[in-house]
Amino acid sequence: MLSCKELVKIVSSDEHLSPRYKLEIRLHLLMCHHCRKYTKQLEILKAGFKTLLNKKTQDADENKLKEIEDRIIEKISNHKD
Amino acid sequence: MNNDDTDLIKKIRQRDPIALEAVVRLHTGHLYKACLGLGFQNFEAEDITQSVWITFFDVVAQFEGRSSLRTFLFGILYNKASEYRKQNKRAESTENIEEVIDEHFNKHGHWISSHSPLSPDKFLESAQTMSLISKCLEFLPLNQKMAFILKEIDEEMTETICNILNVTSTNLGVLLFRARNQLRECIERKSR
Repeated sequence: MLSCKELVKIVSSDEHLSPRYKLEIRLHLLMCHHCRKYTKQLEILKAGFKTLLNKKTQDADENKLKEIEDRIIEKISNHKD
Repeated sequence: MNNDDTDLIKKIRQRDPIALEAVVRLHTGHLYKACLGLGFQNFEAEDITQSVWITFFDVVAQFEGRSSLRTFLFGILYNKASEYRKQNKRAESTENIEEVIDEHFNKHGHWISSHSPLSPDKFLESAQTMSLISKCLEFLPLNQKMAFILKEIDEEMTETICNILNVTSTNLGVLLFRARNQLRECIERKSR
C-alpha cells in the first residue's frame, strides 16, 4: 500500500494521472483524512492562483492591450526596415 | 501544426504587413498576461512581450513548425523572462523543499500529527487572501512558476509544457512537485 509520503509525491508531481496509481490512490484517500486534506489544499491552491491571475490581468483590458499591440507593431515594422 | 499557422508563417516570412499585424494581435494578450502571472510589473511585462516579438521575427525563418506557433512563442517568452530575472535578481526561495517535506512524515511515511495538513477551511481562508498568495509566489523560482502557470492556468498538455521549458517530463514532475509544495508550505506557515 502507498504511504502518505508516496501519495504526496505522486499527486503533486502529476504522476497520479497515469492509470497505474489510480486505484491505489483512491483507496488511500478513502482511508486517510490527512491526505484528503492535502489533495483538497492543492485544489484550493490552483483556484486561488487562478483568481489572483484574473485580478492581476483585470486592468489589461482590450483597450490597454490594443495600445501595447500598436506599440509592438510599430516597433517591429521599424526594426525590420 | 495546424494549417492556419502554416499559412500565417508563410506570409510572415514574406514580411506581409497584414500577417505581421494579425499574428501580433492574436498572441500578444496571452504573452502579456503570462508575464503578469510570472510576477512582472506592467512595464516589465510589456518590455518582455516586446522583446519576444523582436526575437520571434528574427528567428521565424528557422521555425520548423514542429510545435504550434503558440508553443514556439512561449518558449521564447520563457527565455526572455529568465534573462530578465537574471539581470534584475530578486530573492528566490533557497529552502530545500524535499527536506521540508521529509519532516512531515515518520519513518513509515505517515503524516506526523503535528505536521499534518491544515483543515481545508482554514487553508482556503488564507489562500483567498490574495496578497498572501502573491507573496508566496514571489519566492518561487521562475521555472517552477512557469510550469505551474502552464499547467494550472493554461491547462496545457505535458508535452507542450516540456517543449516550452525544454525539460523532460520527469523534470516537469519535479518542478510541479516543488512549486505546489512550496506554495502549500508557505500558505500553511502563514495561516497557523
